[in-house]
Amino acid sequence: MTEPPWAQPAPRRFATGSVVLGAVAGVVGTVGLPILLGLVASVAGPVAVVFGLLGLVSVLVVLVLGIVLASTPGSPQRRGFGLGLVIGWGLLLLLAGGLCIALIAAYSGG
Amino acid sequence: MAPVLVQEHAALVHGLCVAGGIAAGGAVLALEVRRRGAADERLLVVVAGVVVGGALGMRAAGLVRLVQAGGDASLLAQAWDAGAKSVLGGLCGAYVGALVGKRLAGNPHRTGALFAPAVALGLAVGRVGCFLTEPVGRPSDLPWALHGAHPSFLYEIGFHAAAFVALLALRDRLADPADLLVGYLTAYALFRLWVETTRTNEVLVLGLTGSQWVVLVALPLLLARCTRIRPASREPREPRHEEAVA
Repeated sequence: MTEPPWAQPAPRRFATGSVVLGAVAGVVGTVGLPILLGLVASVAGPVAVVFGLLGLVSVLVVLVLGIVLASTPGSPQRRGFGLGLVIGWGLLLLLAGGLCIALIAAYSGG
Repeated sequence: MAPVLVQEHAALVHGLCVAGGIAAGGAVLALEVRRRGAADERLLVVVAGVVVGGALGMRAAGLVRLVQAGGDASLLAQAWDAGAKSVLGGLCGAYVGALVGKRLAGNPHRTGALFAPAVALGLAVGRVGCFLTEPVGRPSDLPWALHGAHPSFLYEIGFHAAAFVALLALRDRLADPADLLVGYLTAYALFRLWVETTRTNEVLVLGLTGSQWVVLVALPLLLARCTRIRPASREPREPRHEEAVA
């Protein structure tokens, strides 16, 4: 005998494990993308400016990607990963202010 | 010039203390969710809203300082750094973020009971970074003065630690446990009005700092909301099903 529709639990939208994985990826990606593009810019010669600008824009890439993945139809894993990206991006922004300044100062001094 | 206790690697020390505060707050939130049986995937969206809103609120507070400085772009780095230390900006952003997250997730339940103790402990831990890396306070000749200045961040750490204990003690004693957050924020607003007089923040207008002006705007709303806080009913609870059967 099948349960009536209202007695069945609501379908899961976010897989918890994927949220944690996405948060880690969000932190790493938000730090890693600008650094990677910055490194590319440093050896790119005449098109260095393009990569430099991409590096600045890439800070928002993780947030936008996370919102898109979490808010569009898809598996709980995919949506959970997207939500994790958003959380990771926010966590990094909470933490990284002073650290960014320290890094910039260190590179400028070096 | 007010003394600063840690000057070497100050940004790293501050960042580590903020990370400790986030970890402590996150652990308390998880325990409180479990204790209240409130685990619901919609809460994840609210948490995302709180984290992103808090982060953006902090940075926005830093940008306000940039505007105050006449929009001088050379001060952008300082504004970004200042935005890492704005508790009021973070709290306002997190509150708005929670509302947006609840709206997006279709979560009709109030979540203040889950977040209040977590925020209090998180701020108590995170403020250690401010105590170590920012000017400790205005000059004072009180017996507990530190290098001749008010240990203003120790006052604040003490407030949040005491609030954390009080929130744990009161968490089952309100008719609507979500009012814990309203009560805590109101108490913090009143406390912040006073503690600003011991800090080195710049006075803006009429002898008040920017933080005091923000608090003065928010305080009437919070006090009005506090008038609706009611204690939990003392009527004897109904026996649970298994007790009744036994």
